[in-house]
Amino acid sequence: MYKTKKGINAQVVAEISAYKQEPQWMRKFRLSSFKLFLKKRMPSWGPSLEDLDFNDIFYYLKPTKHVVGDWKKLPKSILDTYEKIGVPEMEKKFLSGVSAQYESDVVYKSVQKTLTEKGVIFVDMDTAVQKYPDLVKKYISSVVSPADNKFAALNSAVWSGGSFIYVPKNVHVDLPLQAYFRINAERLGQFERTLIVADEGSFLHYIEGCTAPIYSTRSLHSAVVEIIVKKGARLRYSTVQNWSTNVYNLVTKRARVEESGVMEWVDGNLGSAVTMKYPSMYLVGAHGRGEIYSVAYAGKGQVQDVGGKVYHLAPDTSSRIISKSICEHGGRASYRGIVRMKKGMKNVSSHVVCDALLLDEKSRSDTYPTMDISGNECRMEHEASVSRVNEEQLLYLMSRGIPREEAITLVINGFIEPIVKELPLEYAVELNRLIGYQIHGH
Amino acid sequence: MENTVITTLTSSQVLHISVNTPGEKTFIYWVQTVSDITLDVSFDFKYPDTHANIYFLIHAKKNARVTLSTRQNHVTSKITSSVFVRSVLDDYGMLFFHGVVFIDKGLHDVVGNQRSDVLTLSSQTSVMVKPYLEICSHDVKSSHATTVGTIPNEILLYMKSRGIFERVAKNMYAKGFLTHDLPVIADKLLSTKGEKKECMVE
Repeated sequence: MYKTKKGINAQVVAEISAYKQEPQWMRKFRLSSFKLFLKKRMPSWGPSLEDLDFNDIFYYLKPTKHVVGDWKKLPKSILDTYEKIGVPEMEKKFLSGVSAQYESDVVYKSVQKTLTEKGVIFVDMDTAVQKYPDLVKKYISSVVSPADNKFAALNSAVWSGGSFIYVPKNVHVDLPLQAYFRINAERLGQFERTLIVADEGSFLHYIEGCTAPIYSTRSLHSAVVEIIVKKGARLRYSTVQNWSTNVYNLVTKRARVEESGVMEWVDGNLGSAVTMKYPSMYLVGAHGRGEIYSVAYAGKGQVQDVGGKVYHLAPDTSSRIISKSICEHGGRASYRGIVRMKKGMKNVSSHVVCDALLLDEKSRSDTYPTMDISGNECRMEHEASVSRVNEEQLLYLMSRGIPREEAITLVINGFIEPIVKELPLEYAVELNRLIGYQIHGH
Repeated sequence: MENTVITTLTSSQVLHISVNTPGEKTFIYWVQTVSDITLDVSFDFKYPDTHANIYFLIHAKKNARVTLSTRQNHVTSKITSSVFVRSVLDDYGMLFFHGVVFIDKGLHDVVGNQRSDVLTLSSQTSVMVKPYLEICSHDVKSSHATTVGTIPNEILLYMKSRGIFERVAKNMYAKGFLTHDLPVIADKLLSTKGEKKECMVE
């Protein structure tokens, strides 16, 4: 096991790069990003990040020597963790490939032979830098610049692990690819960097799942995800995040969508102390389409600050954002979003729905949408609501012999159904089960 | 139109309205401008059993930039309030609307809504809308909705086919858009502000 010293400085950044034996251009990229990280301020809006101490975190921890392609070759403690979560079993049943990241590095990676034969590249980012430097150089930071925000700069400086996927022209990946992220160590920062390029006419569904055990100290998960959807391609990116409640989950996710491309973000946020996540889309080609579906649960001591951003930069583009949140036991959920329509773009439309359920008097829900529209050939619709569980619905269900607790779960499942139905069946069942577990504790 | 207050706003203002009596209230603010105007209007609802509907009817032309901030402060239970912002933007008209509904802790039977609808008549207009909800109680309802759009071509075509000039048709549509559920107010605004000179119907 290899670990850098606690805290961050230019030496730590250089040490990570040297340990990974990276080319000079990546070392420069990291160091210049670190300078930006020092310059950038913490967000002046959103939840408090006061407890986050950048010098009380380990920035790199390598759990195993190599990436393996066989679960049995993993150390027993790591294998046990993944077996408990059921990843190897899911891989057999319905996945095209799996990447498992434990602490800072990917420890397991497999992809179906048929996909490799079609030219699909699915490797961890560290391998991609070594094996496909031209592709990585071309696309890295093309959608998320290190100057985007403080956490994007931090990730660019100390990133480790994550996935690199390239889907060639007109290749349709029928079964999803999955990445699984686990933080097991205390006071650890996980900074994976994911880069996906869906070439013209291709299709891919990528799923990521995240968990961590509970510690009393803070951990940081600060990922960057960059996606390029080329002409006529379609990409769906699904996340079910169930970090433990000591984790700061501050993630930057952006996609560039070219002509007639389709990008879909499906986002389930259950765990973490604080989540700040606003998947974004730049619709740069005509007839591009973007959709964001997100559901968030905020329980005791949790802040879920989530939403989405869509920039309509080309004519005939359309977008849809559906966001649902549930708060209880003093949790706070906020929707924060932007829809921007550039001047002169014809036939542009967007529809935004953000609804919140408050389950008790201690909790809080906020919505902070921004709509910035220029010109008159665009259509924008936005609606939001905050309310409690409908007593009439509960009464109806209870009059049919359903206990109150179960009736509440049913109403909540119905409330989040527009999001859940976008997930593969196995994940949809799991998400419903997890939310039921969070609310009733069993 | 009892309990209805109509105010024509012609210059930048900060207004703090404290609603201290129960019952139905209607506030209508009429803004027609060709120059920049900034309005900051907050409402404190302090008395239970208050039902307030607040309308901002805005027509911005030429280079006018209308900046409107509203705040509905709910600090007492059993209150319903709604803010409706209807704007017609022409030429280079701009609207910046920032609305907040705040419902304090421990309240019940509170409904706070805000709705903004923007009709754009020119391709050079700009709109920025930030309708925020800050809800700290669970036994309440709150919502906001926003639409931005222009006059559908088929409607214009229909009106033109009935012999109405395009400009007149647009203005008729815009007037209906602003005052469709406030007919009495529409007439009042016309008569009080000098017949057709002040209205949008040419």
